[in-house]
Amino acid sequence: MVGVFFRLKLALIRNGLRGSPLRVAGFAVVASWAGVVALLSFSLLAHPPADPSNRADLPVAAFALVFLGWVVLPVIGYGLDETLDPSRLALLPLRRRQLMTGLFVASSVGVGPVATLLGLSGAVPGYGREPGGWAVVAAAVAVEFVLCVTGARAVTTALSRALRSRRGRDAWLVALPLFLLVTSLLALAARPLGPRAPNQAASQLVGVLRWLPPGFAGHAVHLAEQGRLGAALLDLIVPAATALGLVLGWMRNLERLAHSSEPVARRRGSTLQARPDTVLGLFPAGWPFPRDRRGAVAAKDLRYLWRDPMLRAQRGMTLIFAVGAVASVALVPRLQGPEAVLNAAAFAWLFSLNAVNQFAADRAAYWMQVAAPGDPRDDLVGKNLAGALLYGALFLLVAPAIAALSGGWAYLPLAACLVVGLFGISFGVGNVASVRLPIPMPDSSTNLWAARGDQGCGTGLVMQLVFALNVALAAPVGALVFAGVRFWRPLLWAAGGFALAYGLLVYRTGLRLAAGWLRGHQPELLENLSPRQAA
Amino acid sequence: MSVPETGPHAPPRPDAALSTRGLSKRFGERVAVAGLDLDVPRGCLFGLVGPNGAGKTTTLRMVAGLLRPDAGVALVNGVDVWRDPTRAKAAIGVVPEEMRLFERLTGAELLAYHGLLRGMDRHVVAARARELLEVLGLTEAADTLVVDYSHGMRKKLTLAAALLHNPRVLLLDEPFEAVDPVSVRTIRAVLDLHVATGGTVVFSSHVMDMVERLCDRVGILHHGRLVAEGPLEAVCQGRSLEETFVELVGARVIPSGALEWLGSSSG
Repeated sequence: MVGVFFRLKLALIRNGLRGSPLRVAGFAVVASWAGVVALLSFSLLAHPPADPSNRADLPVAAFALVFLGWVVLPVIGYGLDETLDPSRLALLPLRRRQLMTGLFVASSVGVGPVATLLGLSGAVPGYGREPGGWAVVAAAVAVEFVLCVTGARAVTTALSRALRSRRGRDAWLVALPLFLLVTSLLALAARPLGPRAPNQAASQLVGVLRWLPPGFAGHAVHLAEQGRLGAALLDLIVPAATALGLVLGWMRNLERLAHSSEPVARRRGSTLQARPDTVLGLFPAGWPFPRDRRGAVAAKDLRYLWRDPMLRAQRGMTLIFAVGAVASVALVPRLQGPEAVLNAAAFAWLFSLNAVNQFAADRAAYWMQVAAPGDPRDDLVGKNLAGALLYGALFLLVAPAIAALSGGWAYLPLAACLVVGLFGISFGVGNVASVRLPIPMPDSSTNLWAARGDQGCGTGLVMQLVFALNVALAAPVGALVFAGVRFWRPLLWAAGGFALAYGLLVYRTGLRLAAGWLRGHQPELLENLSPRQAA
Repeated sequence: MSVPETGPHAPPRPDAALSTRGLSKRFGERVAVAGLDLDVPRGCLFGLVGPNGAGKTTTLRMVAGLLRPDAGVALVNGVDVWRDPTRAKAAIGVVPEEMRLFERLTGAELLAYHGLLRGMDRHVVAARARELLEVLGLTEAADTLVVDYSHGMRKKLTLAAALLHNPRVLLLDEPFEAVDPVSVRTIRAVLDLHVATGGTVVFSSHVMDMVERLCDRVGILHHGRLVAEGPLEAVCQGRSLEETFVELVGARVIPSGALEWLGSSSG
């Protein structure tokens, strides 16, 4: 059974790459990149630092970080390799244990799992002493690997289920602000730590992580090096039991998702009799944008931000990172000058890089746009308006918070100029990438983040390309700001004016290029967004 | 039996609502549509039938401007769909086979969205959408997200979107699939009304009875080619459409001795 699933997954990955040079390129680049990261991790763990404290902390931190990556990366947009769609296996007469084994084997084949296993196995030569120690460290690596593979699936299926239920939606509403409030208070409370705060905080963090399941596995590696093999094996019980629990949770959620549908959501009150100005409820009261094709696209995209479970989760993650940005200003002394407010512009810009794939949530429904006459430039403008509203709101959330912490209120207008200019760059580049290199969002009934194997690779490749281009284009603005902060203050205000003009130029150029191509190639974009491409 | 009335690359009929000349599409090695020449006169209900993979959906998608042909032309009311898409698409309403819609909008929002995409006045959009939802029995579901619609409801909602801008040519891919008999009757009435006011309907279907009852003209596609086209009586010549269809495309006969295990006690 193991061999069957192993070969099936390999065949599916191979067939998925056929006939698409872009997919092959994405796979090759990301596989190489994952290989480099894996070798670096291997090397780091194989040659741990001599300092006893750091030596003990390294596997705990590494194991926790790898686990965090497995859980977070799918949710922020990279998807999860489910080339072998679990819902299809549900049709086969397989016993639960066979199904679990098969799905685990299928999940373990791919670029991510191989790179993880390779990277973590550096702990075997680095911490293993004599055969017994090697065996225990290898067992810890294996347990951590199982934890990562099943953890990512357990979390995403649980989140899929939660986000699809009405109670889950409400819980998300309550949990997020609560999380934001608690983390903000913690960040503020940590302020008086002083200049040594980052190191102390890191050390304290590892102290906490050690008591989490991946931390237990990492600590077992440290114990094995000290020759305490029995204690190390005892430490492995917690992550092993957690992995088993995660597998069971994953299976239970898969079964429930496969056999249930999303509860019907009705909006309160009928909009049919509402004033014609609301156009049947598409435009909310006080709608700030035009009520035409551009406005309709913006209104639809903004509704999707909340109504699409996957986008809702992404926005939740964005908010969590926003709190992280504010907390970093509170915690890191080097960021605590009044100029720290300018970081809010950089932060909002980083999130606006999501404009790289603006048609992803449209998927094959994009046919409605293609079937309608009219200028597809309006679709791009509408999507940009929605994005500007979202990332602008993020800026308006973060910048005053940082200003309150750093006392840099005077820098807010400059930060606003910078963020508008930087948005111009990210949307200009994003428009071209969105029409030329679109990747539809996954669309599975059992796991919102379940994607084709190489889809994460394609996303990674496009993100890297677009990020590099954005950084190159934003470099003049960054250089002016840096020079203004370090050498001559008046340059800062020149940077604001320059950013506005330069951002507008880049935006107009990007929009012209993207709209020009799209006018003649809407059917091609539709084909790239359609299920045949995504399947 | 009638053969295609237009020769290869003959000029399109002047009264045609829809014409194709040499329309072709290939997916890899497989030829989906092979140089199709077709004329559909204005004001008729035209049924496009053919076995699975005959090229019906591909043809309709190419005529609607959703899929680029490898060769040939598609004209709607004399306007080339691929040279002047803005003018051509203004005259077309389309219901594609795959019901991918913006599922996180409500039915009412989706119609509003569709109307605004087409540059319609928002007051007109609101008034027509209300009426269409009422006629198609979707008023109760107007504020429900499309993701919660049944397959039949999606068909009706897509038909409402296709009719919203009052197109002169309707292209419907399997419009009656998974639709209940009451709704079929409603859709029929809407299509009849559309044709009675000078509109043209081209629809594909596997249901021969439906095509026979509804259409005044039919075209039978096989392997991407038109094997028969014309008024229903001329194509069928006294037989049922199903008999004509099977004769033209050939029925697959199960060889004797095959599938003997079916229904036996072995697993």
